[in-house]
This record gives sequence, C-alpha cells and structure tokens, in this order.
Amino acid sequence: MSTILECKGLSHSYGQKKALDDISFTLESGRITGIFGPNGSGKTTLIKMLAGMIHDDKNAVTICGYPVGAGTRAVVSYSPDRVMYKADKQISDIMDSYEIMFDDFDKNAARQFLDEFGLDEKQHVGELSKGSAAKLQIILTMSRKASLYLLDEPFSGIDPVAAESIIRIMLKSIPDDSSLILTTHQISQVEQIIDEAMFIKDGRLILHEPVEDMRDKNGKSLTDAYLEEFR
Amino acid sequence: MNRLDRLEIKETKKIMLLLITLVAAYNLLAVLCSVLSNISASDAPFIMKVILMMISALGVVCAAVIMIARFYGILFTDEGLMRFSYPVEKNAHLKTNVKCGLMWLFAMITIIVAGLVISDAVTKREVEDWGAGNLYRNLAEHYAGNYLSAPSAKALLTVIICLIALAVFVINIYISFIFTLTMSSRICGKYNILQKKGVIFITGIVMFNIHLITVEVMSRIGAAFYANYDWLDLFERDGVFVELIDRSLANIIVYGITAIVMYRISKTILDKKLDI
Repeated sequence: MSTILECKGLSHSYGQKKALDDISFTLESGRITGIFGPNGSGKTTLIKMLAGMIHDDKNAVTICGYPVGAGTRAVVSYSPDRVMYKADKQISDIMDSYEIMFDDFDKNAARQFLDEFGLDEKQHVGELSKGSAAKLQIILTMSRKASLYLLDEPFSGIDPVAAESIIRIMLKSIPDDSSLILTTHQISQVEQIIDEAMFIKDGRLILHEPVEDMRDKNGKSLTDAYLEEFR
Repeated sequence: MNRLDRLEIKETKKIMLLLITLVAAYNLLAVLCSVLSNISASDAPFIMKVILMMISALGVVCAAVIMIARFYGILFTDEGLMRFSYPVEKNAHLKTNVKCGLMWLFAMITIIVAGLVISDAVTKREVEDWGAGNLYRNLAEHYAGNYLSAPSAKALLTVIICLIALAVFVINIYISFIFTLTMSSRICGKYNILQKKGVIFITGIVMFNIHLITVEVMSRIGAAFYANYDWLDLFERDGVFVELIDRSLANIIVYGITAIVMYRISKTILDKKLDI
C-alpha cells in the first residue's frame, strides 16, 4: 500500500465563514473512506478541494505526490452531489465528452453498466428518475480507471434498492489499488463496505479511524459512534 | 488541437455549421440580387440585396451570443462547474472559448466579406460603385488619380490594414463580453452575491462606458496623427490614404492592447490568483 493522498493543514473560507479549518489526514491506496458529518460541516467543500474544483492556495493537498491541479484531475474521478447535466443532454453525448477528456474512461464498461441498470444511451438526462440519474452519475464516475474516486452524497434522495445498485457498481468497478472517498448521511448503508471513517464537525476533522478499530476498541458500530458524537 | 478544443468544436459544430450555411445562402441570394439589379430597372433587387446582407450579418451576432452564452454556462451553471473537474488548467476553458468563438465568428465574417466583394464586382449600378466590396478598386483609382506612386500596392495595404483593424475590433468586443462574465463571477464568488444576473448587468454597463472612453481616446489619437501627418511623408500626404491608415493603426493599437489586458485579467481570475 502506498500513500495516495496527503492533506496537511487544509483550510478554506467562504467570505467570513470558515468552511474547513486545518484539516490533516493521509489516505493509503486500496482503501474506501467515508466522510460523515452534519449538513454544513464542510464535507462537500473538502471533496471539491480534493477534486481541484476549489482553488487551494497553499497546496495543502497532494495526490499521488503532486499538488492538486490539472495533473491530479487526470487521476481523480469526481461525482458531485447531484446530476449536473442539462435536461436535454443525451447520455451518449455525455459519454462522448468523457471519452474525449479522460484517457482512462472505459466506454464499453459504461455501456455494460447502462444495460445492466436498464438505461439507454439515447435517453436524455431530463427523462431519468432521480434514482436513474444518480446511477448514471456513478456509472460515469466509476467507468474511469482512476487512482482516487470522490463521491459526494451518492445516495442522496434515492431508495434503498437503487442505493444497493450503486454500491454494487462501486464495488464491481473500483480497481484494487485505487481508493475511494464518499460522503453520505446514510451511514448504515455504507458501514459494511468502508474501511475508514472520518467525522467532520464545523469544518474540523474530529475523528479519523479504521471502522474495525472503532468496533473492536469501543464496541460501537459506526452509526452509534456518529450519534454519540453529533447528538 | 487539444482535447478541450475538440470537445468545444464537437459541441458547437452542429449549430454553427447550420448558421454558416444560412449565412452563405443569404449571401448567395444577395449576389443573385446584384445580378438581377443589372437587368431590372427597379430598385427592388438592390434593396433586397441590402436586406439579405443585413440578415446574414445577424448570423455573426447569433454565433457570438451562442459562444458567450456557453462561457456564461461554464462560470455560472452546474454543468459548467463540472468542466472544472476536467484534467486541464482552469484558464484553458477561457482559451478554448475565445479560440473557438473567434474561429466561428471569422468564418462567418469571411463569407459575408466574400459575398460583399462578389456582389459588388458583378453589379454595374453606379450607386454600388462605392460599396464595401469595391474598396480596393476605388482606393487604387483614387491614389492613381492623385499621382501616388504604386497606387495598387498602397490600396492593397490600406485594405489589409482596415481589415486587420476590423478584426481587432471584433476580437475586442468578444473578449469584452467574456471579461464581463469573468469579472462578474469573481465578484459574485468573493462577496457571496446570489444576484448573478444583476452583477453581470452592472459590470456590463461599466464595460460599455470603458469602451466609450476607449473610442474617444482612439479618435483623439487618430486625430492627432492626422493633424501631424508631416512625419508620414512617405505616404505622400494623400488625405484619404493617411487618414484611413492612421485611424486603423490607432484602432489596432488601442483595441488590441485593451483586448490583451482584458484577456490576461480573465486568465488570472480563472486561476484564482487575483482577488478583486
């Protein structure tokens, strides 16, 4: 295992409001990490900074040894918290864009997933239900052979069956030496699949532990630990 | 061509090729009207030609609006935000939009200019003798009539410099819109302003006033050159020649520099190195 992500003293403010406050952590390859916290705690800001969409002045984050930038965006696959494409956009057009922009995008794999989950390339984004749109976003993200996957709220507003499908796509397509970070409020749904958990409160990282250690040391499930911390 | 350029062309080529086809069709009809005006006693074909050329010029406006709207989408919409997850520098989106936007614009302008030149060349009506398409021929005759040496070469030089000035002006106008959007996005982001369209409107007003000042500066520079054309003896003191060259050169300098400055500031804003 090698260090795939290193974060040292990452901070960010929106005007006067501090969204992230001196966050430091490292992530090894081959790990699935869940980031948990209440609304407005800074999860999405953290994900966006790791994805390189929010500028990091101090180069506090390095991915595969390089500061976040155009180079790291080539090895990081990002899924936002909602489908960002216009309603009139065809799935095939979005796939063509991914094929042009990302060398590691596997169009055949994406097509297989689309077939498996009953989606048609010729469909427009506006025709999809919320669950189908979420699946599409995950299919596009996970069809890349990236070193780091960043999924922001992949289960937001979708039913448990669709959530299960999304987990299936995630586990099926993630390469062994790649890492995955996801943020979610559905802790019970991901507790069995994540290796590490991070708790963020008011922009500060208050816990970063392997889930197994949490269970063995404290005898608590992840859900119990979360409720205890944030109640 | 880099991959972002390829993507931009792929996403815009359908609508742009349609616009280009329409512009070409209107220009062809304008040429036909010029031919008809030679055999018809009525002014109708000439009037029709003018209307068709004006409509085809709208194609250029449509193309500019489409490309500027695409840049607005990159800065202010969710889909545009996703583009910042692409493996390119952030300012590459600016470069690509300006490159592709100007490419489509100049493709259409070239068709319109070609249409003007051809329709003025085929017409035998006196009223169209001084049309834009006959600029070179009329300048060459004028310079020859004023006993300038090498009148054809000087006429060609005048036309080329005027066309460059027109091109620089078009580039400046396009980059002004892009700059307005970039500045607006920075202001909205820095001060957490949600009324994005309001900020764009106000920034646009400010930019328009800056343009008025630029035009005034350009006119005064042009007038100063014209008043002091003694040092331009090599142009043999022909009024039309010197004035056209002077004003065009002043245009190129003033609009060229402001376009470069606006582009560089936009690039820096996108790289988030500049706090406004």
